[in-house]
Amino acid sequence: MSGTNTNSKSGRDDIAIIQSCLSCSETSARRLSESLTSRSYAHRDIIAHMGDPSTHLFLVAEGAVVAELFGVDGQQAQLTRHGPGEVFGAFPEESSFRSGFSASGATRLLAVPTNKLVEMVSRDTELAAGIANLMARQLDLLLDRMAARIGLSATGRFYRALLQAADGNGMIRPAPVLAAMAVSVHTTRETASRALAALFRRGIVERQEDALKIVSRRMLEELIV
Amino acid sequence: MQTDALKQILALARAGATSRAWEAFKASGLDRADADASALTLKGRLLKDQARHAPAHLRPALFALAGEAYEHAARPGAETYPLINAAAMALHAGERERSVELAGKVLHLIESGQEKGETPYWGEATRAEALLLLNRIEDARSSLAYAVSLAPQAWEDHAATLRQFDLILSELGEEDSWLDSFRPAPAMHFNGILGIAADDKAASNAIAAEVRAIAPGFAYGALAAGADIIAAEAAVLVGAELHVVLPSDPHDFRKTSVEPLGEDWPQRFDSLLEIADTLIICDKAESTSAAGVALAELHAMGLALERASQLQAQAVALRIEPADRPVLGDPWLQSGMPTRHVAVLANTKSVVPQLPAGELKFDIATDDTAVTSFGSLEDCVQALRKSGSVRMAIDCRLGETVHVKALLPHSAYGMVAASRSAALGLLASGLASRIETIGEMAFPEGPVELCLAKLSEPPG
Repeated sequence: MSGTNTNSKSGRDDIAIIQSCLSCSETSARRLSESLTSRSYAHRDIIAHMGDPSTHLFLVAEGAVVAELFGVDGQQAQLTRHGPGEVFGAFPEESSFRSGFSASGATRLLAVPTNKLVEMVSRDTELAAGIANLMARQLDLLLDRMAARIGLSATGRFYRALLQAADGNGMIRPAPVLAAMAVSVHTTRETASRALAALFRRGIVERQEDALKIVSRRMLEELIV
Repeated sequence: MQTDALKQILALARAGATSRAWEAFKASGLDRADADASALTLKGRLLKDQARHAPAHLRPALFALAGEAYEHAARPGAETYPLINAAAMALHAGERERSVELAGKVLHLIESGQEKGETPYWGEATRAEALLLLNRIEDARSSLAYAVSLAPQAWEDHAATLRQFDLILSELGEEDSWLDSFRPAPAMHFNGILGIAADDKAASNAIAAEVRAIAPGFAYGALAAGADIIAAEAAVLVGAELHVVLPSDPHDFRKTSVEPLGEDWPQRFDSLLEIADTLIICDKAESTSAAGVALAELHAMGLALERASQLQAQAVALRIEPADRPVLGDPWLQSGMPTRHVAVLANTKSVVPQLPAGELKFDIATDDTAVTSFGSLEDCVQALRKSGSVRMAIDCRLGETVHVKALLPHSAYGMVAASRSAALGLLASGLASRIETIGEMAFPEGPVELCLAKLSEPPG
């Protein structure tokens, strides 16, 4: 590992991010967060070189990570890009990085040691199911890329998540942690924040004490593109 | 599945593909879904669009059919939205009595408290429309003012009402200039030279005065040291939303286009980025280049034009340049929208950094040919028109990776599938009349938003 990254303990928002991405209880998320480190990188910082030992699983919390390979002709080629809510690294066994990884834009990763994660999922079925779902969603994303399939825009995904979080009366209680909901739909907190502000502005959603209320389900549905 | 089909058809209709949307509606069997309120509402919308584009003698019948579909969509608890549309359609179909009858019913539903409207704005705006259809114009005006006061920034909703009011007033043969007071402030695209001294009061004052005269509600542009930053600061001071479009990562852009121009600029750049409503980075993978700057400008111009069109507002370009600099080559000139100029003197002491040239390429794909690359959007569109192909796609890029072939399957008859950057470029250059986002595609380099673009009619 190299670059000008800074490490810190994960914070309260990170528990919400884990809970949202793994669809698990707060207790499980809190347990996992105790083994997490938050790592921040500036644009183009190297996260790992090809061949470095890979001993952690990383969840992209902000920004994006680019995987690059050098071909036989010495040309650098982008293999893939992991955005918010995607994982990369080693699981279920430690290994080595198959390509170089660098940050694209200001990037924050949540890192958990592979061995620790394996031990936790063997005891916590919620975490195990959450990791399996996360991996399955990522496989879907990969297949979408290969099939050049068209999906919802980032704003559309966020609006769909809001609708799914609402009960029959259109209430979302407690109000979602925006950063967490954003990561779970593979977008940034800024995009989610702007999308929600547009709904408040038009009166489609209103803020209530510790809750959000969907005022017009039809208008919100129409915005899911 | 039906919701997905409805959405796809609605996207076609919004993009202006009126005939294609109707064909898709019929092909999916939705035209026979007599008990589905969503399908009936869409049917009304599609028939209304057809009526607007039909020869005069066919319009009344099509408007009448649209009204019929809207009336069937009305159901207990959700009657006002389809019924007010049915009332408007009856007016356009020449059935004035029926229109008055339906408008009266809508007014009763709202004023008796049986229906409140989907949002507070729509409740009151629907009441205003009913009053207008009843030819109570002063009451309608007061009611619309009250509706706007309930959601003063619901610009998209105000725009929908204004479009509807325009048509109704025209049908009634009434004066419509009073609607202008409800239109949002203009969307402004700004750009200008880099070499202005940070303490050049004359330039700053002239730019600020022009921005105050335009009074933009929305400002789009980059933040290079000099004219851009001064214009953006002035726009923020008059209360405009600031939408920053950069060619590369802010860190790169700051190094190449802000820091070399003097020590006062970086802090002003940072402050503006901090308060910007949105930040769009055209290509994070590439370093700042002249080609990247050109792409970012096209993108920002397209955004300003798109916003103005969506909100029924005016679009204005602000150009800040030495008086003797020719304006030839500014794509905005093709948009037909006004340009305001501020003449400034370049600071001879500042060293304007030379950016690497880079290369901006526009790719097209059709069913019949391999991918072809061009240096300009005009050439792309000319080649697409010549091809006569049913499916067409267009993309732009600064790097080597070509994606355009993957966009092609999402093209619809007569509509070009375009990456959002390319679609905004088409709009900025006057080569597309409408664009509509239809979703997102994932590529190894990152997601790309996909649009359908309706090409403008060729000149002549």
